Parts: sequence; C-alpha cells; structure tokens
Amino acid sequence: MKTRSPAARARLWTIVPVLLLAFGFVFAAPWLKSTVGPTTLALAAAALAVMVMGYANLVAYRYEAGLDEVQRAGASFATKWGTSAGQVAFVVLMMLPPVRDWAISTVTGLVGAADNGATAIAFIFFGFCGVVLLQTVGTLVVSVLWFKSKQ
Amino acid sequence: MKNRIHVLRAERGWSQAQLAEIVGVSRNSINSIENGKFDPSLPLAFSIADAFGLRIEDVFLREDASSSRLA
Repeated sequence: MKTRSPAARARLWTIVPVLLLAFGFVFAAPWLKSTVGPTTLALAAAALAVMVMGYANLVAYRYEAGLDEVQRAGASFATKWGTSAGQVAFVVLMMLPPVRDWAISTVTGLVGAADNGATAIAFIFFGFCGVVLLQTVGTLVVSVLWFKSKQ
Repeated sequence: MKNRIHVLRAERGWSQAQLAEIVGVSRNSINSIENGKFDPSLPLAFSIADAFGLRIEDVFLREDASSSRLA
C-alpha cells in the first residue's frame, strides 16, 4: 500500500472534510432557506465557519507535532507571510468590480436581499471563508517557495 | 555555517535518507543542512555529530573563523 507523507496526509485530512462541508452547505442552502428561513440559514453558516476553523486548528496542531525543526521553521515562515499575503489578496480581489459583483450576487441569491440581518451574516460568513481560503493558498505557496529555496 | 556532512556521508557510504533516519529528521531537512541553507539547532547539530561518531566541531565549521574574536 502506498504511504503518504505527513504533509500529504494533513492536506488530505484538512481539505476533504472542509470541501465536503462547504459543498454540502452550498447545495443544501436553497432547501434550508425554504424550510428554516434565512436567519437560521445564516446562523448555520456562522456555526459551520466556527466548526471549520476549529477543525483546521486541530489538524494543524496534529500536523505540527510530527515536524522536525527544519520543517517547523518553514511552516512558521509560511504561516507568518502566507496569512498576511492571503488577507491582502482578499482585499485586492474585493476591489475588483467583477469579483465584487459576483460575490454580491451569489450571497444575495443564496440568502435573499429582503432580510438585511441574514444578508449581513451571510456576507460575514462568506467573507470569512474567502479570507481563510486565500490565507491557506498563500501559506501553501509561501511554504513551497521556502522549501524550494532551502534545497 | 559550513559543514562536512557530504564528505562524512560519502566516507561511510550513507545516503541522505539513511542519515535522516539515524538522526530522526526528514531527508529534505538533511539536504537543507548539508547544503548550508539551514543552520541546525545545537541539539540537532550534536545528534548529527553523534551519528558520525565525531565532535561537533569536526562536522560543523564557522563560515569565517578569522572574523571571530574568540578564534
């Protein structure tokens, strides 16, 4: 049987459940909206965000415990600069009119523009997801660059 | 910081993976240290020296010994 490295296992155990949850939520959103209402839908989204964050922290903790000092230095450097780069990338992306319009139409399409409170919570949830996603991408890119520079 | 890991490995016929297994780090980490791209901590430097059965100063060398006031 093919064995995976700790990094590959961590990526697998992080990405697969998070993707399943995210896609499950997006597909279930119309049904949730029609049955429980937009406010409960938005609260479910917020709870999902907290759960994903906690799960990601748990996987990161378990992953870091198996690293040696060189890998830990790389992970620390990548986290430091990758998260900052992800935040900046999110702000820059949101300043681009096509991306901003797409985000607004997606969220209002899911929750509806009638309920301002639910729409605001949905915007916060999807904004949070966007920041975390870009931080993850930024961390992965910086991590790859760091390890390439050390070879 | 310079080191003689490549030479010492060659003398013993060890691969980077073998040394990594003895020391308890990844092969990539040994590669980074061997190429001088990463300076190991003292405990890891001692572990590497122990793996070769040498003193730490026989494995790791100062980059520019003449610049040290203690030299």
